Amino acid sequence: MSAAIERNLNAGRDIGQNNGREDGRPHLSIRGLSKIYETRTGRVEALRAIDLDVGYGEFVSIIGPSGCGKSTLLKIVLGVIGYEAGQAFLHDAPIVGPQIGAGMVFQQPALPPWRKVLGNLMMPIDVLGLNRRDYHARALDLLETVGLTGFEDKYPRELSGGMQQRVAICRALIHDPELLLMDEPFGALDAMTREIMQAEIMRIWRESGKTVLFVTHSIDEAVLLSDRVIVMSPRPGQVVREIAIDLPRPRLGGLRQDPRFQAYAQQLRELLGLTEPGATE
Amino acid sequence: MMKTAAAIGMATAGFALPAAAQTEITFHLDFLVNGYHAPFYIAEANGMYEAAGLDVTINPGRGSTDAISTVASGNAEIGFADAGAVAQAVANGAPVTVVAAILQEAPYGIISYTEDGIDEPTDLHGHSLAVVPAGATTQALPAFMALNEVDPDQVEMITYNFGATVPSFLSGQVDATIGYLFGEFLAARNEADRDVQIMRFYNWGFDVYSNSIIVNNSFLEENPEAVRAFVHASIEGVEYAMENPEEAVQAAAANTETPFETLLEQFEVALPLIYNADAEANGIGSMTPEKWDRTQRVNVEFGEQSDMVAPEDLFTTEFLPQ
Amino acid sequence: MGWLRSRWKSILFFLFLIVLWQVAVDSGFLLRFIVPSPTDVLGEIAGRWDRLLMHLGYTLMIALAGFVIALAIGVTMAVLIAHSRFLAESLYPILVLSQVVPTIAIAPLLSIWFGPGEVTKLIVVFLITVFPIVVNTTAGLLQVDDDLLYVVKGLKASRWKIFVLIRLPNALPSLFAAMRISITLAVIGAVVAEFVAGSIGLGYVVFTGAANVNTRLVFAAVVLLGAMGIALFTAVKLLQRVALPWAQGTKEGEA
Repeated sequence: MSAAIERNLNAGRDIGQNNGREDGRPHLSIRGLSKIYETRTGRVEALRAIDLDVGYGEFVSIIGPSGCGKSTLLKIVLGVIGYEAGQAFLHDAPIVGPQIGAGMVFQQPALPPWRKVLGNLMMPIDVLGLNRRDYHARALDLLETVGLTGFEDKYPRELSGGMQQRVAICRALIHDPELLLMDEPFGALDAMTREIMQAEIMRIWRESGKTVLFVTHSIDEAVLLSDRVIVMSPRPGQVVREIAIDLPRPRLGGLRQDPRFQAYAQQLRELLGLTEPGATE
Repeated sequence: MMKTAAAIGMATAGFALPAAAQTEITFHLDFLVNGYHAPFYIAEANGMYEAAGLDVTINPGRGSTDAISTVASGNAEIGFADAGAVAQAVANGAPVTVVAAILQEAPYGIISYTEDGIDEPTDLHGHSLAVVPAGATTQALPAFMALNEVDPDQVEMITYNFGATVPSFLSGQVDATIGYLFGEFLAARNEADRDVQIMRFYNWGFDVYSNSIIVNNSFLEENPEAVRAFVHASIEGVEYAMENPEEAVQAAAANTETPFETLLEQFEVALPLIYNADAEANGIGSMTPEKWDRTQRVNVEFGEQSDMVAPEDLFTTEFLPQ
Repeated sequence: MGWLRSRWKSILFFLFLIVLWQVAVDSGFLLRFIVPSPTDVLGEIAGRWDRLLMHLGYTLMIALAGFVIALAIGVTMAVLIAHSRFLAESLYPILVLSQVVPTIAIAPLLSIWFGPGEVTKLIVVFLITVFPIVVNTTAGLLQVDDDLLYVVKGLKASRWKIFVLIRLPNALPSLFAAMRISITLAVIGAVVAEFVAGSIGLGYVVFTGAANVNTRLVFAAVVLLGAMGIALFTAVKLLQRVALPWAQGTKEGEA
């Protein structure tokens, strides 16, 4: 069992890193994806005909109004929600269920309070049935990366919201997945912590070479962090436009004042303001 | 040679001890340990049951109904319960038989302050009376009132839990309370600041049997000798207790938290009901068809019993000492 | 001793009430026959200490045994209900019915079916204590953070792994809350059972005292029952502190 998991985890690493579509195949490929919920009051069309590609090592943000299905999309990529039409591929394999090749971070840290920080980090290892000892060094490394060295034996309730979220990010990375899925991970943090975390995630992304699919409400955040921003319409969620963010890296906080940054932000604002299907161009 | 000797030795040893197994009997009392149970406890403590080949365990009960159903269901082979309650249960199909009427007279009545002058049943009119929700008195009271032309609408009857009847009487919440001679009456008499009296049903048309030894019918069929032995040993216990009241009561006291003094008082007050004129003439526990007829009739005509039960289905005197 | 220092006011108040009670009886304001004084009660306890201790031991044993049975069966039922809609729909009505019918009414029936011995008593204690355990544990098993579930499902966690790693620990605080309630109910259950059958136990002593209008005995037994109940409740609280160090509430009190 664990050999198969190791293979799965390594599969992503073998195929090129940081270079997008160098070998021609995207990390994540979605075509015509639709998601329909059956509720008591009728059918709800959450996503309609989504087309989306994400290359290896790319940082892609999805931005859109509430209820446009961006969280649903992430969960479909994670493999924990099904879809009614279309195709989705991860590493060229059709997504028919969880594939372990991704780590997920939500807006709330979702750390079980009964585990200490180290135990929380080890949750994926326990779930996968791997040996904790093999990952101990990596866990400590990750904690160091986010500045939480020495907190291994603390309970979540002893940490601030921002610290807990950092632990959640480490948890998403412990099993070294190739894809990091983040659903408004900094939405519950105060402005200062948020800025710090934005810098952190960029650093983690740069140092690890992982692919990141990042959902956010914040236009500034999307422009600051991403290689590309995908704009979605209100429900039923569709892709309105993709904007490539051609700004140099590393992107420091002061970039927000840069006129090119402002231009991208304005463009996104307009796209979000006129988000009627077919009202682009 | 050695083997044969050993075999003979073992066989002899086997014969040396009589293989008489004691018949196990659970004796389920009508209520918690009271002074009038002393005869049974002394019979057990002094080995009278054992000598009769019986291994008896005495269990305090929770009321005649509880005792009857415990014996009827076979959870106890023998029990002790009020005769009227037994008759009603047998009329409803309970498979039990009475083999000895130890308490020859109904022990319950109306307890009141002497100065209030409730000396006759109809004196109850215009007074309040504490009653209990279940038990032998619950059935006897309506019958007593009907028999003596007491109008229930003129008596304010208030139901109390059995432990609360005396306190409410003593604190003046009710004028009178129903109760047993060796229970509530004694408690009231000892704690009251004035004279307390009891108007016993027995003196007002309730010439009926009270607590009796009952046996499960299947057990009776299969172990008649054990039943006979039990009855005889129990009566022996009564006789011994009459001669040695304190020793007998002590045997009861060892099995309960009720103080010795209270138990002794209870026994002394109960004794005349066990050893009354009938018992002196015909034997302790003796029963007559006429008195059984009266015992039943009162409840059939005025109480809850549906029909009379044929005497042979209800009691038998064959196990009493002849 | 910090415990003492922080509570001296309430202890003093409690002692004041006791003194008030003593004076009320001694002065005749309260009928000694109906309400014995504190010294009467203590005297009764001291005078019968050996026997009362025996009765206490029995009631304690019945309460604890019944509680443990309720814990084992209750948690099992909760696990079944949490994992199977069919079992939930089959078991819950029966459970609720068992609570709606007063145990004190069916206890005599139980003693006919199962005899007037320990089996009946354990069933009575079980019936009285199992409900909070099932309800709370089921809630605890099911009320898991959705996001956390997504995280582990994304790692292909089996239902079993989810149960062991997440649902079970998540249910522990609710379970302990139920245990605090149930342990005191267990004492009540043991007393109810002893009211109905048997010849030993503090409940039986209360019954004996009530039947013979021996209020001193009743009070003595009740005081011991109260002490037992408080001790058991405190024991469960302490157990939680040890078992769930991460689940301590605010300083002032816990849910």
